[in-house]
Amino acid sequence: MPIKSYLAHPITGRKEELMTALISLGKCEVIPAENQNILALVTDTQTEKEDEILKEKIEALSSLKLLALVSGFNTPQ
Amino acid sequence: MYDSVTNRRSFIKKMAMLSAITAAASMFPGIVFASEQEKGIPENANLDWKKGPCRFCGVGCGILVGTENGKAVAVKGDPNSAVNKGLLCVKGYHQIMCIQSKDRLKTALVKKNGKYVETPLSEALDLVASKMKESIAQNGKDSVAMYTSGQSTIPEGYIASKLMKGAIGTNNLDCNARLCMASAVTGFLTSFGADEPMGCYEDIDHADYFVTWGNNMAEMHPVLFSRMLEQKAKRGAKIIDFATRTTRSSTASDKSILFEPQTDLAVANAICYEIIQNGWVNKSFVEKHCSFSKGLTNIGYGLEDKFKFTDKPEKIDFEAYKVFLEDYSPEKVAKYSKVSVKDIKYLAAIYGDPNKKVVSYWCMGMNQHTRGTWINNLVYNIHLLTGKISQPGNGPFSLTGQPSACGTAREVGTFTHKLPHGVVMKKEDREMAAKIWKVPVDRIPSKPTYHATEMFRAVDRGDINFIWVQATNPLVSLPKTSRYRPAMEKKSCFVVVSDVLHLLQM
Repeated sequence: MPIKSYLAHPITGRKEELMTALISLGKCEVIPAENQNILALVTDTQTEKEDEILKEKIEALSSLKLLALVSGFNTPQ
Repeated sequence: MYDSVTNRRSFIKKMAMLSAITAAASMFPGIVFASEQEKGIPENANLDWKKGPCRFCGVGCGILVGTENGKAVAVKGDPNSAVNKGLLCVKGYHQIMCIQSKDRLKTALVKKNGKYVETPLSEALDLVASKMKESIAQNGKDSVAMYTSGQSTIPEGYIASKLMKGAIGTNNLDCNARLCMASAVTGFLTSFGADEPMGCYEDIDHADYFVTWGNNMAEMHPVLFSRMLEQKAKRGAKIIDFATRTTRSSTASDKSILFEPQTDLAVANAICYEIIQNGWVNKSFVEKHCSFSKGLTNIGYGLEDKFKFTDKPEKIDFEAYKVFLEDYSPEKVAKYSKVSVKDIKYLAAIYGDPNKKVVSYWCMGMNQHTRGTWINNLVYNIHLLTGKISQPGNGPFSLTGQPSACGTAREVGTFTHKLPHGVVMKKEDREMAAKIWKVPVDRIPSKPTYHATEMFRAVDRGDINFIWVQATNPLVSLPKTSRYRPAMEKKSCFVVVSDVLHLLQM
């Protein structure tokens, strides 16, 4: 049951769009920085496979410039 | 602490988010996550914002706490605070979470037949009082003790001092601030003859270099680190992280230098060696303000019962100091410190450059070092040799780990030797305390008893039969807990713990 946290850097001017897109993917908790172009993101999935698929979906978002992994946990079922 | 997978998972998610926010704070000075600050604020809330200090660490950030119907529901940095200028770190953001935590104790717990049983507070306090009385009647006043904390407020510390010294009449009162102050204060006293740190946070706005000695400020003092990063971005100030491991501070710094544990003392001496060899000594400052002494050297292992120093400090001159440093050339020190000759010379050149302003920061890495007083002295030596001290942007700065180590422990007297505004050894200080407490002066003993570690040795020996621990967990933070954990379980001692959260499943 992986839980991972990232810093998501949006393409300039598309922060709101990226935030909406992440939330609509589900399994994502997002906190935007008030005064910087960056989002703190936590993903919460059931399996490694699901985590992998979610990450691929996030990386495919056109409003995302860079996704940097900060921490990862794998909790028991 | 967490009684279900769901709760545990929710906790881990919070930790994951905290990691992300901490990482962002080390990359973007002054970053604000407003929705994190506003979490928990009810919609359309009409909040009353009250000023207060953050109670987590020793930085002293000003906070504004939003209350609704008398209940704290939100927190944010105080923009008018000279310390944090509106910033707040992840620890500060979550103060409300702690206040409202489901794990908060709402009743006393008394261990009965090996299990904690919820007990009305009045009944539990009666038990505490009866156990204290019993111990005093059987074994005297010095068989009861209290161990408090730099997390306690100043009024709490004052009351603790009044209860133990003014009412019961024992100096068996000490606190966890001893664990760092023993090094920091002794460092101040042996180098300068006076207590308390010099320098101020405004030095951050003037320094060209920040050298952090074993100090992960990005995670431990994030608000100050943000202010350093701001100066890095604005003026090109440089951060040098000198540590035993790579941390977020290392990655956010301009240079990370790793050393083998314990060899920081030798590297500090090597820096002094280089400063002298290269003619970088500020001769005028040294002649006017410095004298040279060789300190205590035979300090033993330091964990022995009733250890006392047998040697004495002795006066030396500058030439003798130069001879002493001959064992610490960069080439010799590099062999065992694993710090390259080039890096030792680089550090020395920073301190030695008369046109650069340097602040050295340290905290528990140096102050809970097994040779804490010495490493404090040695970093002071670097600043004194170069005259980089007590000037805007220049100075050695011992940061504090707790919010009220100075106020609660030192100023109102929760150390065995202290009284409010004085020490137990001085008659006039005892008289002043007795007057303000309205107690007979003879009740306050004139001799200190147990310092922090000695207090727990006394529990182990059976000399203390009652101990009240407040707002700290000595069985995690003390050195040599393998001795004190079984000691605290002995039937010879009744243990009372005052804390806000329970760590055991009910």
